[in-house]
Amino acid sequence: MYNFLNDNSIYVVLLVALINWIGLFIYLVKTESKLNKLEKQISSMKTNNKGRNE
Amino acid sequence: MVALRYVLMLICIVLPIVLAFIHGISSPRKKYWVVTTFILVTSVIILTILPPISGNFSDARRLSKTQDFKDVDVSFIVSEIIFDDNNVLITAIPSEIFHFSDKKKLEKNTYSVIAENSESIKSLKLNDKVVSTLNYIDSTNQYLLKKIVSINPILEYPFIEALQHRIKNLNLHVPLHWTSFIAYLVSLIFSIRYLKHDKLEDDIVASSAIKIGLIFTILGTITGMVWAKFNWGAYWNWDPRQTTILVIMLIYLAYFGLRNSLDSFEKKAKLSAVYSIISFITVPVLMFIIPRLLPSLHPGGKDDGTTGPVISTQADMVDSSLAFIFYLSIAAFLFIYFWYLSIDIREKTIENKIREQNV
Repeated sequence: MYNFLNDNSIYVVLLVALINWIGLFIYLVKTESKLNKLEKQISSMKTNNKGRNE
Repeated sequence: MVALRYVLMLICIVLPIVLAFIHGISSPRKKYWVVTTFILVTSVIILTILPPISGNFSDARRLSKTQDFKDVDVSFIVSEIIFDDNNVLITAIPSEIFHFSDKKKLEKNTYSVIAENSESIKSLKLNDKVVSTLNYIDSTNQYLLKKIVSINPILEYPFIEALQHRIKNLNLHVPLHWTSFIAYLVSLIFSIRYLKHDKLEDDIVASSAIKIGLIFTILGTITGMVWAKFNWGAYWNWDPRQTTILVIMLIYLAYFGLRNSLDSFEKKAKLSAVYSIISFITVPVLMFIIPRLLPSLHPGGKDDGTTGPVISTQADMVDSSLAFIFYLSIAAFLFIYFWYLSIDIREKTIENKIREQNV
């Protein structure tokens, strides 16, 4: 693997580009899960308010 | 030419920042932002990975005499082409001197290239720019064309023996650190604003700016480590630049340590604003000054004679085509940065509102 990457240096560039993409992608996934949590909190707040009103 | 490069650099760095501030740093991104980011990122990746690297004839000649010889791609311009029964004889002018109008100089600097007759050779025309793999033949002082890599490429990256294609990493590694510098600067501005106006929104922006900036610093470090493995032999070399970026990373990780250790929101915001201002003082020192004072594996260290691979007053340091893509890459990463920043700020604002409702 190391020898292959050493001989075909263009794949190192590809690897670096992929690392950048994966890093930004991980942030996307984290934001998604956080937003899900917030949505759940908001919906639970709404049901609580309904209970109070009734 | 050098002045033009500085203007271009300023535009690529300042324009995204100004647009982000005009637009409102925490407001949802408009459509033009999405389209611009997409176009920039796609074009940077394509223009980084696809173009060939090209050396000159002396590289091919020198390297064909070495023991563990590797192929060199040479860029030349076809000035004459003669078809034989089996072979094709091309008179080639190195493309770097082709722009000189002096014809005598051009005639002195021609090289003869021979190739086997094939379909791709037949499609060559006069004055075509060709990037091809050449081997030097000692006995006849000719070059043997092994393979045509590219005909009339829009862009060529310079051939540097130790770097090969890895020179293209410059566009994917260095801009990450520049972006993180802007990130810490944004945090500084909003920390000062928080201390002035005492608004919680500014504190949210300051902390989000550091959070997204840290993502870029960490990515820059990892990509640098991969590059270092292939150029310097180890993932981590305790090079001055590597060490200082680690220190910056630790300083800003401690920022979150400080934030999470406090319960009161007022106290948290005030202390972290002060911490952010103080820690930014170290950033220019650690990023720009110390790595230049010490001998370093990175370009731009002590006794290197240059100020760095890209910000150099020497026009020959980095090819201007490479510099252009580099600046585009900075703009692309800044567009991504401000986009992520607005997402993070909006998410934190909603979180705060929910907390206020619950209390």
